[in-house]
Amino acid sequence: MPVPRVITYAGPACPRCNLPLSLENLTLAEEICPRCQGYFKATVFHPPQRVARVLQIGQSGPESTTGTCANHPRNIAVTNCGRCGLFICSLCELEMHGEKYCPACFDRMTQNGGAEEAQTRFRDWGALAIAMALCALVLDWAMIGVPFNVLSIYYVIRGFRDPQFSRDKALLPALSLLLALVGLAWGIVVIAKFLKVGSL
Amino acid sequence: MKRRFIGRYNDVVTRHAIYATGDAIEVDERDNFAIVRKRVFFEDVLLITSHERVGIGPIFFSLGFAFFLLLVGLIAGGVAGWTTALFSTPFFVYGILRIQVKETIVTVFGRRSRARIRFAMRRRHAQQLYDELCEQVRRAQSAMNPPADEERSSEERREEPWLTSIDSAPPQ
Repeated sequence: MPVPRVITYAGPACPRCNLPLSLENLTLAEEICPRCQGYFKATVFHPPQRVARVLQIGQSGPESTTGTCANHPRNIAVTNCGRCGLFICSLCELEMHGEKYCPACFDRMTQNGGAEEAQTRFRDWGALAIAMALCALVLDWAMIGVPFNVLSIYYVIRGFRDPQFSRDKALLPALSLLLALVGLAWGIVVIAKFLKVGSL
Repeated sequence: MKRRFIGRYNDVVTRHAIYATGDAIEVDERDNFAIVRKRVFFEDVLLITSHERVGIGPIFFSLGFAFFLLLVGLIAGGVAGWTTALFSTPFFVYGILRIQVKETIVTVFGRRSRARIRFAMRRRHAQQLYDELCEQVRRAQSAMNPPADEERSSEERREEPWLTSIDSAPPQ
């Protein structure tokens, strides 16, 4: 179970000294921080607020035939979950790949790896592979490096098959593969020498 | 849309790789053998800044290593000493360059998170990225404005009878 991370972020701040800034005071393109007197270039944006169009049951009128939201009994359901069929209002509606889901199904899909776009934590196969390959190089001297080399090659393959794999991440797995193959050959030579001579 | 690698932000304790997608900036933070991803959506961006600073770490390490090699060379003397001293030149030049050419940091502040990208000795590229990000954010936020009720067609409103009453006062 991953430990929840506490992220402290207090909104826009001076990029030099992290002094919280009021966006109303930032009007010019070139700003000077009042605390550190540091110069920085800034562009302020005013994103429009998202307006959730939620209608409560009392506002629908007598002709309304739609059901109520399973999570918010006072809100009218606008659709139903594409996975479990639950009636949901526009507050609960989560869209992914053109399908609409309720929050519970969305969480389950994220945990099971069904929603790659919503995932926030991934295994770093490249780092694992290089760590194993380096361990194997050291342990080859003691003739126990071969399994670690095999493990490193396995991690490299997993890394290349990962949907998150991209070309800019290819260097580390490629280096690991090279190290692991060299290590594997070296480990086999060491074992063969030992079997032939009878000592290291 | 495919992710595009736009830069890194590494320091002593954290290593971040920053990517741009169609609707957000993604920050991949390395956490031992895991990668934790944060997103700063263009729709949520409040402020983009760019500033320059002298990177102390690279200067300290490059000049420190150069002086160390130089010292070793001087103590050793002879051909080997001079060769060692010669090896310190690139580190010395890099250190001086880093003092002269400051690093540029582009910071994107969203409602819930921020992304920082550091460019060492690539000032023009940083400026291009800054302009590009500002343009993308402007485009995303202007596309976000929903049409007002007056602009919607009467057919559209007839299909959603409950939505027309939300803006009116609740029934007494």
